[in-house]
Amino acid sequence: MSEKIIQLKNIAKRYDNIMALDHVSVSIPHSAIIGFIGPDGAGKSTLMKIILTLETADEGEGTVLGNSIETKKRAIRRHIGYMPEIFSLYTDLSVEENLKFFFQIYKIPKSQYKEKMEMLYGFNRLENFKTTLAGHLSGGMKQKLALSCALMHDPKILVLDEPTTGVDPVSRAEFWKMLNQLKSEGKTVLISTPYLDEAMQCDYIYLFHQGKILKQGLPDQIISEYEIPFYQIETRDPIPAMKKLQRSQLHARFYLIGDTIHCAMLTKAEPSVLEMKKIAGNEITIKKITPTLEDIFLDLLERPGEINDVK
Amino acid sequence: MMSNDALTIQNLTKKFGTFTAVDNISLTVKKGEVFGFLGANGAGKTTTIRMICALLEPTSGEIELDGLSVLRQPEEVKMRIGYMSQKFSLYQDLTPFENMEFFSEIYNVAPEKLAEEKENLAAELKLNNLDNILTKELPLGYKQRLALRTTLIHDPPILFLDEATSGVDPVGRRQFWDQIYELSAAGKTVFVTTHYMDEAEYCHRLSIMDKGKIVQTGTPAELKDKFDVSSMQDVFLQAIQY
Repeated sequence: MSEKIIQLKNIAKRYDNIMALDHVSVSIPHSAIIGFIGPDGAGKSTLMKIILTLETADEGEGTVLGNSIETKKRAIRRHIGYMPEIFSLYTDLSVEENLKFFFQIYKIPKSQYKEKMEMLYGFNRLENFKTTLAGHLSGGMKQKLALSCALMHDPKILVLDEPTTGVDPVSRAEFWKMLNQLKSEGKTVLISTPYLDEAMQCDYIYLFHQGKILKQGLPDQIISEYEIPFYQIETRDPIPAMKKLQRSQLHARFYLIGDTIHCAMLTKAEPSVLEMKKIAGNEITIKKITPTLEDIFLDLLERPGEINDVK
Repeated sequence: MMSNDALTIQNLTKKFGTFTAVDNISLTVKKGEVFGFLGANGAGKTTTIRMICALLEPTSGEIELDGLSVLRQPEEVKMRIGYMSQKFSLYQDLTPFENMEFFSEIYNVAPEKLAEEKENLAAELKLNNLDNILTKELPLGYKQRLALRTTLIHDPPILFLDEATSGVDPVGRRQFWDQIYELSAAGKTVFVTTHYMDEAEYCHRLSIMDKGKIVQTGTPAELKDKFDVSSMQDVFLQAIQY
C-alpha cells in the first residue's frame, strides 16, 4: 500500500458544458485533517464524490487506500464514512433509532451493539438525548449525530461536506475537537468549508476555484510564503480615502475591513507611501500586515491569469 | 439636539418564568456603525433582538431606537427597522418583483420608489425576467441581494442582519460586505449577528453575549489585544470561558 491514503491524478469531470473539475491532482496522507476550501461550484463536492466513488471521473485515475477508484468501488466504500451537506438523518426517528439504523445497514454483528453505542455516546455526548427525535436537536447536536452515524463502520477516511454551516461557534469548536480526536486515532478527515477561519484549523488545504486547485499547502505556510505584500491603512474617514485610492493609478487593490483599508499590491513591488499620502491625505498611517487566508484567497481570485507570476 | 446614537439599551432584562434569558444588559450603537452581536445558541441574542424590534416585551429596562422608545412607540420603531435573515426574508413561491411589491405594501412605499427599486435590482442582477421566475429558482447569492434590497425598500435607518450570510461562499460574502459598508457610509446603522469569526473581523465594534449577559464589547483589534490572541475565534472562546 502506498503511504498516501488518497492519490488522484489529473481528474476531470464535466457536467454538460461545465467543467466541474479541470484536471486536478491530490495526494493525501494518513492521520490528517485536509480542507477543501472554495466558493460554491468550485469543484469541492464533485471531488469528494469521486473519492467516495459516488461519481466517476471522465478523465484521470486514482486510488483510495490502494484501491482503484474505477474498479474497486466496493472496497473503497467499506472504508469511507460520508456526511453530506444536507442533514440526511431521519428527523422523525430518535437519536438512538438513527444510530441503530446505521448499525443495521452496515451489518455489524449484533454482539457489538452495546459496545458500539457506548463508544459513540462517549464520543458525541448525546446519551442524555437518546430518545429525542433527531429533528428536535439543535444544529450542533444534529451534526454530532450525523458524524457518529458516518463513523458507525469504523471507516479509515471521513468525508464531511460543509458540516458546520449555520452551526454556532461553541458547537463548531466542539465539532473540531471531535475531528482532532479522530485524527489522533489515525483517521483521515476530508472537510470542505467556505470559511477561512476553519481552513486555518486544517493540517493541509486545497484552495479550489472553477474546477481547478489554485493553491495548496499548510495554512501557515501559504500565508508566510505569499509574495504579494499587504498593507493596512488607517484614517479617520476610511471610505472617501479608499475611493480616492481606488480611482488612482496605484498598482494596488483597496478594500475595507471594518474601519481600516486593506491594500493588496498587484505586484511584488512595495508601495510608495508618499504617493498614497498625496492621494488619500497626509494623516493616513500605513503599515505592512500579514494577510489572512481570506485576504490571500480573494487576492488569488482577482488575478487568475497571473497565478504563475505570483508563484 | 439629535443624538448620535442609533440604539441605546439600558439595563434590559427578560425572564421566562424563573429563567433569565437576558440579564441586565446595556449597550450603545452609534449611527452608521456596523455592530456585531456574537454568542452561542441560547446566549440570549435572539431574545435581545426580538425586544429591540418590538416583537417581545422586556421584563425591565429601556430601549431607544433612532430616538424612539421601543416600549412606548413600537409601531413607529418597526417602520424604522429592516430585518434580514437567511431563512425567513423572502417568499420562495413569489417572483422577486412580487416579493418587493409585498414588502412595499406592508411598509407603505410609494409606487415610484418601488418602480425605481425594481429597476435597480434588475440592473444589479443583470436579469430581465424578475417578474417571471420564482424566487426559489435564483442562485443563493442572488436571493441574498434580493433579500437585502427588499429589506431596504422602506429606507430604514437601522438594518438587522441575522445570520444573513449563512452558507454563502467567500466571494459572495465579500460582495455582500462591500454593500454593507456602502450602507454604513450612507449613514445606516447595521446590526449583525453571525456564527462566523471571519465576519466578526468585518464589524466596526462588537459585543459577545454569554448566558444572558454581555461579557465583552470592543473593536476586533481591541479585543484581540485584550486577550492577546490573533483570531476572533480565540477571543470568542476565551470571552465565554469555553
